[in-house]
Amino acid sequence: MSIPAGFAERRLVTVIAEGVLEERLLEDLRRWGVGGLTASRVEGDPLGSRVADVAGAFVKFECVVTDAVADRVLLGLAEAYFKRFKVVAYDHPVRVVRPEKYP
Amino acid sequence: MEAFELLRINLFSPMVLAFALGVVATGVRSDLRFPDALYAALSIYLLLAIGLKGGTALAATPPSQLWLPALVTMGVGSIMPVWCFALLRRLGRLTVPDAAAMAAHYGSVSVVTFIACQAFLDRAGVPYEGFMVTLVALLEVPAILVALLIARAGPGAWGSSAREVLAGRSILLLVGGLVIGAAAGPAGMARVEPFFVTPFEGVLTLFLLEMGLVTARRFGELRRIGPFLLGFGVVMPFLHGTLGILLGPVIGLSVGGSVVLAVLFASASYIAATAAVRLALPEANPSIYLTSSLAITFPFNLVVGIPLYARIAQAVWGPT
Repeated sequence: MSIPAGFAERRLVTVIAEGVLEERLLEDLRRWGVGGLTASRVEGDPLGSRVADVAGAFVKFECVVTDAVADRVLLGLAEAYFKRFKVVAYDHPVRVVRPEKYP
Repeated sequence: MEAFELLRINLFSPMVLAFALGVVATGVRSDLRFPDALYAALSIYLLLAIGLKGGTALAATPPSQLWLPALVTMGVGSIMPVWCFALLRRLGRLTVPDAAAMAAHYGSVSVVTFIACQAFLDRAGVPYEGFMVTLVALLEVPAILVALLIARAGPGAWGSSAREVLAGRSILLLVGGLVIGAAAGPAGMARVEPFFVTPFEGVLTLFLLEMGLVTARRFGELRRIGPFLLGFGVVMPFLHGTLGILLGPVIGLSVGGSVVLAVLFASASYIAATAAVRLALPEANPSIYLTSSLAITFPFNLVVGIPLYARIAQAVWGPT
């Protein structure tokens, strides 16, 4: 299906991680090419470990990025974080207007 | 003062009763929840308030009275994680990361337990040195760094953990409060007394209600951590507390000051050490160190330990 004029396809990447990782993750996301993003505090308890009791619940980052950046983020997280920390990450396709805002 | 009277003063204080209410609330699955922002605000208030009070006292303390307690505190804070680690490895058979994580927690300090101790001594009419909060700031960091060193967490982890702890909320507000209190002096403090002094115990009561909620959530993990750690969470604080009592007057502290020192040595961190350990030693199991420090040691010290150390100090060194 073709994309209407003025729209473009991008990927919405969501990363949910332990609160203590917030600063470190932010640096890595920027390094992997993420520009703008939103961050929020969320509650939850993956796998019953109660790591949320450690300084500040969970942080959720959401960013709209190109396919290439989305791939870098997910692969980077898998390599640097998945084995050692409670991190969940996924993406799905979205349509945006003003695609120049999401390089 | 008799042991029973000390215990009664502690157990029937609004703070300890609020803690108990929090425990009960979790036990009956109440929907009582503190918003994260409220918890953060209360802890900022408490940390800054005790820093300010301590700073005013520090400004009036001659360095000759301070240097020895400060040096000894840092020294003990650096050695405690070493013997904790050795015990946990040899007798507890913990892995290196788990033993190091525990050592970081038990060598560091719980600011809330310190605050509760001061409130108890005020109610019991036991005087203590006003500069003790300086020792809190000195004790927070060394154990964490030593424990990471023992675990060979790597120079990068060591450096970022040092920055993390030193720039963390606890140290920043404690040290910042000390500096502000010292610079502003009694005249400056008098202006903020209606906000930072008068409501202090009320805020502490609210904070301990939240601590009761959080602590009780970990009681379910007690079954899993085993009898050794259950015992460690009580015996080590008692031994460390006794060390503080014995050292206190030797290094120039009053009997009340030695009780505070005992509580500093006996307490286990569950904020600064936990965040630093989670980043630097992610292989360590949070269920072990968080359950020990939060579900065993913190309530033990709060309910039983503080009056116990006070009684022992009076028995050893005489009444205040």
